[in-house]
Amino acid sequence: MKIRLLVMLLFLLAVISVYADKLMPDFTLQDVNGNDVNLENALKNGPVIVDFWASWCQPCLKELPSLNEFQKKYPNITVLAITIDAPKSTARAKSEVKSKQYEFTTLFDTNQTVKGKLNVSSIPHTFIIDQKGTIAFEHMGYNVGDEKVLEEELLKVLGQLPSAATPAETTPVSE
Amino acid sequence: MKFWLLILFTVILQAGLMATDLQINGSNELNYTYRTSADSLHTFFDDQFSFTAGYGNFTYGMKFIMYLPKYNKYESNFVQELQPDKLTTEWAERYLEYSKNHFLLHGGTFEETFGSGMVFRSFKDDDFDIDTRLEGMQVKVNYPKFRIKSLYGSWHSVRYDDDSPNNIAYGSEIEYKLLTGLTLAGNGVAMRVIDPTNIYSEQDVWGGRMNLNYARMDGSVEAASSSKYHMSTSARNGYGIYANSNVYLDPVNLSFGYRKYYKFDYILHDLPMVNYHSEPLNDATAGLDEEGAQGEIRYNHGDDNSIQVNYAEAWSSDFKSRMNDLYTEFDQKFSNWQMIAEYSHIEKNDDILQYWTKDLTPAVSFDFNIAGNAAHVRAEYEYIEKQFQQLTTYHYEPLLQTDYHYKQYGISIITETQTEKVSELSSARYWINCEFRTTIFENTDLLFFAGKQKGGKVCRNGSCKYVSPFNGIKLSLSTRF
Repeated sequence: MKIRLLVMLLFLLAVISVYADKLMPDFTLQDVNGNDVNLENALKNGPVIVDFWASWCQPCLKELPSLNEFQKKYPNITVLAITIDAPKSTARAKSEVKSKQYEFTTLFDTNQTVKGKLNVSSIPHTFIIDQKGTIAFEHMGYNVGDEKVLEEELLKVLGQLPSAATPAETTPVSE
Repeated sequence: MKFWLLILFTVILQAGLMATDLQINGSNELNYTYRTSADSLHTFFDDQFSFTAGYGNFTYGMKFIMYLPKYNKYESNFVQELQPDKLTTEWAERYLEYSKNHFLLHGGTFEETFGSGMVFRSFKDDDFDIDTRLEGMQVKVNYPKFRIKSLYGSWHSVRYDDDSPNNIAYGSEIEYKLLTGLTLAGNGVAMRVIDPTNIYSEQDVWGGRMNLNYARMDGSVEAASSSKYHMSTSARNGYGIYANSNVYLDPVNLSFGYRKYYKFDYILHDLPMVNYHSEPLNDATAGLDEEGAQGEIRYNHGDDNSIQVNYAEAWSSDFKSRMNDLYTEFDQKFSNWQMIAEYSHIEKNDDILQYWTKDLTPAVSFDFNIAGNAAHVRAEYEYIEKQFQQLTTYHYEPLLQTDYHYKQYGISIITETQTEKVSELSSARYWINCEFRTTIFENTDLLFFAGKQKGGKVCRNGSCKYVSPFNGIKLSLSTRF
């Protein structure tokens, strides 16, 4: 009986979730200088790209230069690159982004609070958030060429490309 | 009757909330595992449902897991104790959080860290089967000039006859921004732990930290002392020191690190090991008596290529236990392909145990396009040599990985072997496995794994994960919403 109840409840939650808006939860994390950065404030400037990465993840490190290019090319967006490196490895993560002079904002989610809230299970995992705070696109993994898919989706959010697309296009190559 | 009332209540509540500013994120992962091991059951199912709902200043999160029967990826159960039809349910996480402006109150399951984790860290790591998260409450106050966090919680004991959350921890940290780029912090944690013989021990840890953050330089120094008392053996005091620094002299970047731990071993922390592979001097005695230093140099030539060399040494106070760790990497990008060449070298020596081991791994990987689709090839040639007293053994572990992606389909094949002589490769032991991934619906991924894997960090199909040793088939369907 207990199990039946639980299963029914979980099912209901899942069904109702489908109808709810897919809003990005607000969060505040520290950047490389120890200052707090808040998503809601970042959204005031325009759409936001949120990317989860770690210094031990090679596909993540390969993706960072293209995120940096987006930050340079589109000044009205904010790229928040959230590292999930363990607290003992934050020095390495800092060294990675500062030595390469990346212009995006690097944030530290050492307790994986934001990662947990978004149910991110593997990295890299990238989200494009429109200015209303809705998750417009998400993508798991990184392979050479994925940056083109990301840019296309970003342009749709920026209103520079039509947003109508087939399901195959809105859910491109996963890893 | 109760059942339908509850359902009705949930529907009404959720319908009401839907009309408002409700944020919902969640995932469901359904796994089927077929294990070929002879001393185990073969078929396992599990379903992991995670759900986070944000409403106003409140956030509720939970993770619920059902196993049929429960599969332990690290320990093999006695086959006679396993029941194929035993359904196990588990609340892996439940919490309620309230946050407004500079204030946060969290009740339920939580992870927390003070500084680098040297003084305190409670966390969960599925890949290494670690779960020291606390069940309790935490309060955080964040202002630009200062931060305060306090916590009180319990976690599961390792007592052989009981798995109750009998262990208790409480502590606080205050961080103060003294000047631009200079932050000072002080923290204290008290822990009460029940040991396998049902005797409580208590441990207090006091620490201090200084962080520097400037454009051309950053670093931190952390020191802590611990005292352990009320234990079955005699009381003892210990200490830990950790320091790191990065200096950015474009295009060259220098990094330094130092650690020293003496009788500084307890459960709720995660010691920085100050070497590339995060290796302790001795796995069984990490934090008891070790000291080490690390240096790293990186050279970035624009966005096209970079070189890094990282070298670390560690030793015990009597120098009878020593290790070194070298890692070098050369990364070269071309117009439409990329190459990374790596070499890693770890050597450990213990004069008392008369034990010595050496692990060398040269590796090269390429990323390129074939007919417009991404491909990845990685080759490793690991050499391991071990000496225990008079006995010396050695072997090679070559590995070849190929990944290929076509539209939303990704396939990755890894072949790994172990042999003493390269000429005997054909008769050597092999680990061959294949992973296939695809997106079948919007935000729904299907993963199929078949074969035998050795375990360790694996980056395949564009994502990285630590995996446990396994032989069999896995089918996983994950949906995010």
